[in-house]
Amino acid sequence: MVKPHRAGENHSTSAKEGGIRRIAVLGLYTAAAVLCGYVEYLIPIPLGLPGVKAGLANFVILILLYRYGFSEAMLVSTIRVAIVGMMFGNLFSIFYGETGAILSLLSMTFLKKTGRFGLLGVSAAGGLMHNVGQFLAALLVTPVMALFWYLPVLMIAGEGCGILIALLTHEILRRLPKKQSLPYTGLS
Amino acid sequence: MEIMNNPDKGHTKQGKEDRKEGQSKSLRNDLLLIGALFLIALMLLFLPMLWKRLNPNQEAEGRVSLRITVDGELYGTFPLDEDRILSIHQTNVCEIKDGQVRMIRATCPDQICVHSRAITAHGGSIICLPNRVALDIIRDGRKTRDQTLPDAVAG
Repeated sequence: MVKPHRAGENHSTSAKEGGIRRIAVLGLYTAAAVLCGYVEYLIPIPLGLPGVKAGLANFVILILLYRYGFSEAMLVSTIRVAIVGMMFGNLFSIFYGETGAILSLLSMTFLKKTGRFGLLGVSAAGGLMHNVGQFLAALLVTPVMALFWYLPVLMIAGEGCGILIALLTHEILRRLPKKQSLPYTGLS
Repeated sequence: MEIMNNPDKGHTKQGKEDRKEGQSKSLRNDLLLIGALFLIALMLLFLPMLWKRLNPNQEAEGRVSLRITVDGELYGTFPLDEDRILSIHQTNVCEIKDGQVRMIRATCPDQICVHSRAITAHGGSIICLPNRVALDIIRDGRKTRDQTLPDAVAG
């Protein structure tokens, strides 16, 4: 079980200092997520659809989701997609990416909230839903029915990547010190 | 608060066992979830294939037609599933029968087109160079593979 961070944890620091720390920590996570996007940009997966990636950045989002909460994960995820899209993609890849990221995070949060699934299932479903979201966005932009052939391939690929990301995240979460929880600022 | 936290932290034997059971249960649920999602993806992959196999005639016959061009200009397109005899500009006569097309008469001296193999829905072409008549198969408005019309005709 993940220990939720408590309101009275940082009695010594003021609310303002806590806000600064929060910005710094979330900025660090965003930087890590953007870096993952860069690595994916260097090693693309040729699947024939624009904007489809392995979802390496999902481990950052998973850590945020498990250590901090939904709103932190959503914040970093949306900012990450926008930054990576502006750096390496175009307006369309931002659109695809945001749809995928939001759908993925919503489904992961839902599965985690049910309490019946562990990191493995949450991550696999998240990877799958990320690709499904991107696919739906792509279908909206170019309504070609032939694209439907790609969907099952994308789903299986996303699921496989999600499983690998889950193993990675599991090891990182075990090694990451638990003390790093963010000071409460009323956002989450 | 402390008492409520105890089972979670695994201080007691009971708490430890609960936690272990919960973990293996969630692992089982995870595997079930992964399997279910994989099955859904496989179904999405194979259902269209199955559908196509069960209804093969829709695509194979409905949209295949014969295209006749004379001197590089379209003379007309005719469905392959209707038997008929077409005469083209009083120079050539071709016949559509049982889904096969052959040239049955031509005014040209070499008669190569008349002796050409019949073309079917699978493709192929018959070209009468002296009269500049070309027959080929188009599918759904597009040309089938492996035939091209000559850009210019010598002789």
